[in-house]
Amino acid sequence: MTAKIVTFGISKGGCSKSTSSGITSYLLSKDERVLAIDMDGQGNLTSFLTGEYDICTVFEERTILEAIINGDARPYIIKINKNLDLIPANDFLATLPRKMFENHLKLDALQSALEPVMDDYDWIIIDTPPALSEQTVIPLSTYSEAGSYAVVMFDGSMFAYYAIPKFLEIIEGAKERYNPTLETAGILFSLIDARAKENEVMIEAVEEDYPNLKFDTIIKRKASTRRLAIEGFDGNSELRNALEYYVPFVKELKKRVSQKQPQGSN
Amino acid sequence: MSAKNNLKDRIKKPNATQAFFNSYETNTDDDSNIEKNKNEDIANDANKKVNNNKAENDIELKNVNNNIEKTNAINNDKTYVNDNNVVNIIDVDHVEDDEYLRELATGKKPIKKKNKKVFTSFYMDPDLAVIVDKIAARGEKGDKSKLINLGIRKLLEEYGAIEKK
Repeated sequence: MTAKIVTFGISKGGCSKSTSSGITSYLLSKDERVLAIDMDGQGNLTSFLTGEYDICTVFEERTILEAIINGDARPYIIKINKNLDLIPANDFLATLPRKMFENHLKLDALQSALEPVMDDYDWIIIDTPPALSEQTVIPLSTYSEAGSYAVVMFDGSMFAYYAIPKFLEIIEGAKERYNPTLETAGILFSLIDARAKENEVMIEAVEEDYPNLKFDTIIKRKASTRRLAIEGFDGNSELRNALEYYVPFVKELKKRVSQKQPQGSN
Repeated sequence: MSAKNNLKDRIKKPNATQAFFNSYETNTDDDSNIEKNKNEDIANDANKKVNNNKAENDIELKNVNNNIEKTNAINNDKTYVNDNNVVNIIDVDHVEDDEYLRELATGKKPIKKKNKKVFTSFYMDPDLAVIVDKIAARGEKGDKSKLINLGIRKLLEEYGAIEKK
């Protein structure tokens, strides 16, 4: 059994990439083995899953940066719970492009690093930064026999609306050059204000522009979800409420990525 | 870059994403550039040691040392003087400069001299920058360069890096 890779991304910040990838990792790990990878130097996924915010000190030289440069992820995997592991990130990930250049690494560098552990997991969930950069492209360029997928995050804003085609271009570029099996799993709405009058128009626009790509589930942001970063998952009395929209999303994601020809035009 | 992508780029101007991927398909050239740059760095380091024993009336100075600039950029105590780097051959008559600057520094009206110079970049200690500016303000355009050249020339003569005139 080889891991399915799911990369969360969009070329705009604040679209719930880290929260969604973290919660998805958590929910999937209920029944399956999951490796979460933080590819964003802000380290929000790292903090979200570990509760550590002093990431530069706590994870000094024990991050995805070292895993990629050394070509082996194994020494950098930390255990979150029984089925959930994490390769953290911190601000030093900003040096990745320079180090890749110095070490003559290409955009398939993460694949080399993950090869020793691909069979150890059912899922590899990757959080990316909101930019066209190595940190975004190399997860998308990582091939898996079981399939490699991208979830495009969308917060309902104009900025994000115009970021969607840019991110789809990145997906297409990675697919064409490094990862021929890469597919877009779908566009996930994570609405900042569920009552905003432009939401309906945005939903229609996305459905018209990208037929069948939008997930049926729409995440409506809630305070209880935001508080997960403070309270954590274990022993959290409002966990059920916090995960309300993510449970159906994960169910839908699993259904989509198990299809032979996933959604969308890719 | 593959022939297919190369052809596609000729037909259609690459967007940012394509340009990003293309940049990784030219790594072979980049690698050779790394080696080239390394060699240049070694040569520049050698220049920094000032092991030039060449001594003639006219000295050829070549100055395109990015490493020196980078090192200096870290030093916040220095005053950045110039950001232009131009390779050139210069003609310096230091004896004439010496006399000229002596007159300038002592407040006498100097006899105008004009020599070819090369633009370069370096950082000065703030106190030196102030006094040099003051002296140069009494003279004309180019006097600051003459003063700096004379100072370095004398130092290099003392070090034995160039021959005394």
